[in-house]
Amino acid sequence: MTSIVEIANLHVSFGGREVLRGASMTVERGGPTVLIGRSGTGKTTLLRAVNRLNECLPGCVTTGSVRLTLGGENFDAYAQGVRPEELRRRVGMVFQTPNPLPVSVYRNIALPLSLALNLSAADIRGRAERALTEAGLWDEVKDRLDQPAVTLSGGQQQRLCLARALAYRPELLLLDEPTASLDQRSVRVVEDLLLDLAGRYTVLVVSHNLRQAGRLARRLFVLGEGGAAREADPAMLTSAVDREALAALLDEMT
Amino acid sequence: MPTASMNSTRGGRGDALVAALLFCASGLCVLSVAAILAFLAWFCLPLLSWRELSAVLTWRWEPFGGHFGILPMVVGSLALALSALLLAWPLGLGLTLFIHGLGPRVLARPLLFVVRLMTGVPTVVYGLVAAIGLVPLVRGALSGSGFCWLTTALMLALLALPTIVLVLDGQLALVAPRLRLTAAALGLTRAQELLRLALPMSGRGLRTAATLGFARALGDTLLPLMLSGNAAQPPHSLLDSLRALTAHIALVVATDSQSAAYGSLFACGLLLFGVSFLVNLGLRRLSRGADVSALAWLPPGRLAERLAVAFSWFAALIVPAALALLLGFLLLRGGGTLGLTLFFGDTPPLDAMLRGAPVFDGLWPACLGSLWLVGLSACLAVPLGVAGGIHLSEAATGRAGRLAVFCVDLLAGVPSILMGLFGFALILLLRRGFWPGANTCLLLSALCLAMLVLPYVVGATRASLQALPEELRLTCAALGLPRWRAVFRVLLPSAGRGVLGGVVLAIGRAAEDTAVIMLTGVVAGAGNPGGLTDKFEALPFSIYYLAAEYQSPEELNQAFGAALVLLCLTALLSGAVRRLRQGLTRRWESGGARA
Ligand SMILES: Nc1ncnc2c1ncn2[C@@H]1O[C@H](COP(=O)(O)OP(=O)(O)OP(=O)(O)O)[C@@H](O)[C@H]1O
Ligand SMILES: [Mg+2]
Repeated sequence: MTSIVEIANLHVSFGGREVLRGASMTVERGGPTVLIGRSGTGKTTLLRAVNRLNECLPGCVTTGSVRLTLGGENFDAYAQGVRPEELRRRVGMVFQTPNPLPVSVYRNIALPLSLALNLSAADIRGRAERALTEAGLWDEVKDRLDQPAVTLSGGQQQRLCLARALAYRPELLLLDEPTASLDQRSVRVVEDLLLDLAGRYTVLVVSHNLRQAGRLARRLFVLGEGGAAREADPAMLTSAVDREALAALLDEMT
Repeated sequence: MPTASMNSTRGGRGDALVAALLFCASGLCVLSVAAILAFLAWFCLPLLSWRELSAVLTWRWEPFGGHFGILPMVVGSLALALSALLLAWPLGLGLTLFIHGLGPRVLARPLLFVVRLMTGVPTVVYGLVAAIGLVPLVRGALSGSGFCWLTTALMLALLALPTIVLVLDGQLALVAPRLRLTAAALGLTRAQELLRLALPMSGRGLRTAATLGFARALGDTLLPLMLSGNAAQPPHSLLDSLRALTAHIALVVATDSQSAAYGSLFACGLLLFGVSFLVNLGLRRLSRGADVSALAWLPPGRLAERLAVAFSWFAALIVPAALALLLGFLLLRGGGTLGLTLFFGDTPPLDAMLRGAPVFDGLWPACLGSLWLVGLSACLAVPLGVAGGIHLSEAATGRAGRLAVFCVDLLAGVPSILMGLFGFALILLLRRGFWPGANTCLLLSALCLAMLVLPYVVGATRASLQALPEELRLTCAALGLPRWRAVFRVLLPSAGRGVLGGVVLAIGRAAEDTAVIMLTGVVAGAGNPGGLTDKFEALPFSIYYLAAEYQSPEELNQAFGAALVLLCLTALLSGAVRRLRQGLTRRWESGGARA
């Protein structure tokens, strides 16, 4: 297997307070790779380090190495010549809470596509429909594409954000607790979707739900206090006893 | 409200008295707006015949030939305000976008500081520097006298710019942070985020900024008066002289007193009042109506984005550069004059200060006059304003409350020259009526200035009371405090810094205003203020007067010295306001956590 993300000795601090102290982790092609950890351990921060999103937050300092393999090319994400915008176009991300733009459902997908990728209107239409279908949303929204995105339900908004990321056709998909704002049924829909997507994209998912991790993970990382990431066996997630042990491990690492 | 009904046995009468007093205070705010309008309308009454009206709505202003047309001034005012807006709005937008991310982040704070600094520069200082520095430049580089549309519009743009930038900054600060991470995660550049996402969502702020900037440029008296040449004719080119409505009022009151001209004078006043009324209505609609987004006026494509970024760099360079040039010029010319002679001339300082010896060529009488003026108007405006603000925040409800709030906003937006005109009209009325000897004086000026600054105090009091957390009110009610005792003992002290901020702002405004006092009793060479009914001198008027009538280079330098003194004074005051405001928010941030 080939790795697509290699994080080594990553330090991230906000306003002088270190959140990640020497985190290391590799993500291989395919997946899903699941990252679990207690609240506040820095899962979101670690995820944002991959597409350099931490830079947009005030007072953030990042050191260490994040190497990505995109388009058959291995490079340091934080190297001088790398444009973060270019990088983020190839690494899709879905946030912990739905973040639709304050425009219509359709424009939510079309506007970023036209701004970032400069596609033609016809291309955009094709990609938008495809992405909405992939996210399992097309049937629900195909009659209300012109309505404001905020009129969708929370779960629909989250899937819209997923579709928006998919429309870029990224090589790597970062998902930050994508089911945090969903009910049981939608959770299942999204989980099936992720398993399905993992055939075509490399998927890195953050979760703090051990059951969910059990259903999704092909590879598993446990993040402890200060960003000490340790690989664990996904098989541990399937039996109740092992889950107890894993929960104990989480507590111990925190 | 249960508390009110249950303690009606003891606190009832006192409460009723307090409530009545507060009601009177906010009623007075409404009354002062009504009074201005009534006076303007009363003096316009003679115009109500067709013959008179058609005489005023003509293009000829020749008071000695019996022509009193005001249309040239209407055109002049509109031309000035619109051209200033056309300059200031794009520059302000460019500057704001630069601050919010089109430029390097390290420059954002210093630039915002510069803009805040600009709000504290007295208009008369701009006027002086432009009249002595910019006018010869325009004359040399182009043609004509230099006192023209172009010069005035440039300076008016500089005057309106901080208003525009601060409104836009507030709007973007609301919109942009929410978009930041989303836009970045989608691979959009900072420029795309601001230009393609944040701006289309900021339509309301863009329009509010334009409206306020327009009102600021239209309402100013001093810059047109000092820089436009004041020829009463519609301009044909940017290098032509023109006359604004505001400047027209000042000039007519100052130069002739034949009553035939007054009708047209008050017509000008009424027009200005009407415009500020409309502006206020417009702002209200803007703040209430839904935000119509998708203002997609930037053509698509990278080139448009690049041009926008380049323009914002231009704005971020040119504005501080202009300010630096102005202040540098002021320092250069005025710095050398700072010293005791500037204030006292040949008179020994101690004699002047302790024994009241007359000072002939120093600023001391003007300083004393300003001090009196500011002190008196503060004594009038502060108690009234605080009481009015309390009433509006705590007791005014329903239609009456809304009307009062509207009047206060309107009063805040009325050009200052109208307060002066009000004072002047008051004297006219007194003379015709029961006090033929009435004349403009220190007390009248203070009264009109108090009307000018009253809305600042009312607004600040009301805003800071309303910003208090709701729990505080509930706590007081739960502790069984009578309503007004809660207001005076708990709420008002908690809002103290905000109220104080408004007071300091009012003092700064009263210290720098020139238009009001020009119509109500300030004269050059009046000496130390003798009494409330005497004429007086004041610092800003001395600057204006010296800039227009200087006989020697020394006198001109004295004007620059005075401008420097005034600038330092207002800068100190506005610095104090900022400190107070910051303290207030910080306190409530920490206090909110404790509550
Ligand atoms: N922009 C920021 N500024 C300052 N501190 C931050 C910022 N973002 C995150 N942190 C801090 O970094 C730590 C880790 O945050 P992070 O959001 O990465 O945690 P998390 O593991 O994703 O938690 P959760 O499961 O609750 O989402 C927290 O203590 C948080 O306070
Ligand atoms: Mg998180």
